[in-house]
Amino acid sequence: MKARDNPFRSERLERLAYRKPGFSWENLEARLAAAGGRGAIVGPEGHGKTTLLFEWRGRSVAAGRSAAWVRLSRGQRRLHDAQKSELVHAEAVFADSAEQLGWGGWKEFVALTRSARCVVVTTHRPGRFAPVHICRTSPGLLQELVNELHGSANDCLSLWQRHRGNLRNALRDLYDIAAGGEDLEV
Amino acid sequence: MNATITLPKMDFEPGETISGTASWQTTQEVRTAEVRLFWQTRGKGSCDVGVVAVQTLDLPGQADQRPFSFVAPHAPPGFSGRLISLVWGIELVLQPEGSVSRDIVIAPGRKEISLEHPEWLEMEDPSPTKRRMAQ
Repeated sequence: MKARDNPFRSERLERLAYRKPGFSWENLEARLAAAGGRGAIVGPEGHGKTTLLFEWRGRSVAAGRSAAWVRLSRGQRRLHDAQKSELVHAEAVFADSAEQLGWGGWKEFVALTRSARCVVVTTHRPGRFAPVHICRTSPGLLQELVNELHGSANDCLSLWQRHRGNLRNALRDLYDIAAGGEDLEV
Repeated sequence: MNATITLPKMDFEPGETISGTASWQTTQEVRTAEVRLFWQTRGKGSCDVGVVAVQTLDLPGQADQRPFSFVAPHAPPGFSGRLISLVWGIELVLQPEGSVSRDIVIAPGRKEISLEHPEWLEMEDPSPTKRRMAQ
């Protein structure tokens, strides 16, 4: 199968909205407000943290706020200069993979975002800002996404287990299966 | 929003003129309207996009129809493999309503290059001597 026809191509994955049973933006924003406008989205890799953070940023922009987006790469202990200048005047700050920052880098981040109305970060474990949302996946969620992307109704339990709930990796697996022209029995 | 991009054909040689018509009907006033010629990658990795030409449509109405024209660039050619495809497209962007797009092919021979069946690798590249003799 050609990449452009693959139902699991990244362009389609990026369009999937964040979802979790019982999730609502009103509750999430209320929790952030109760936490003083500083909060963390917590969860393991491939559980939807970045998707949720990105959507949150979109809501801020749609509400007319200046929103800064910072993505920390693996092993990045401090912010780059360009990232620092991005943060200074933003009303809302969204930082992905904040656990990468070392202690000094984190202190600097907190100082630079002091005047922002809201600051949301993603981390793998609690410990930076107060958790305002825990991302969890389930075989049912993977099933729902596969149905949406491919229209198939295969049982996704073993795939979900094989990737320990990491939906990003599970969907990449499905990309490879589809690319190889194999039947999508997962 | 009801918008369409009409093209007499969908595949083009590099250097060929791409002419078509953009038409739309919207529920609210259109602030700006433009037609873009772009390419994007699709596949397993993150998407890259390049907008190579933009035509701004002056004084757009709520129900309107406008011609547009681009020259198909020589690079990059449209191609497709299992991991990545490069797809050309025409996009009509109406602010604040939204956008529609249509995929097209821009490649030598008006045919997307297949990385799985790379006939183009088998095409003989003339040696420098032959190339000089041909000139």
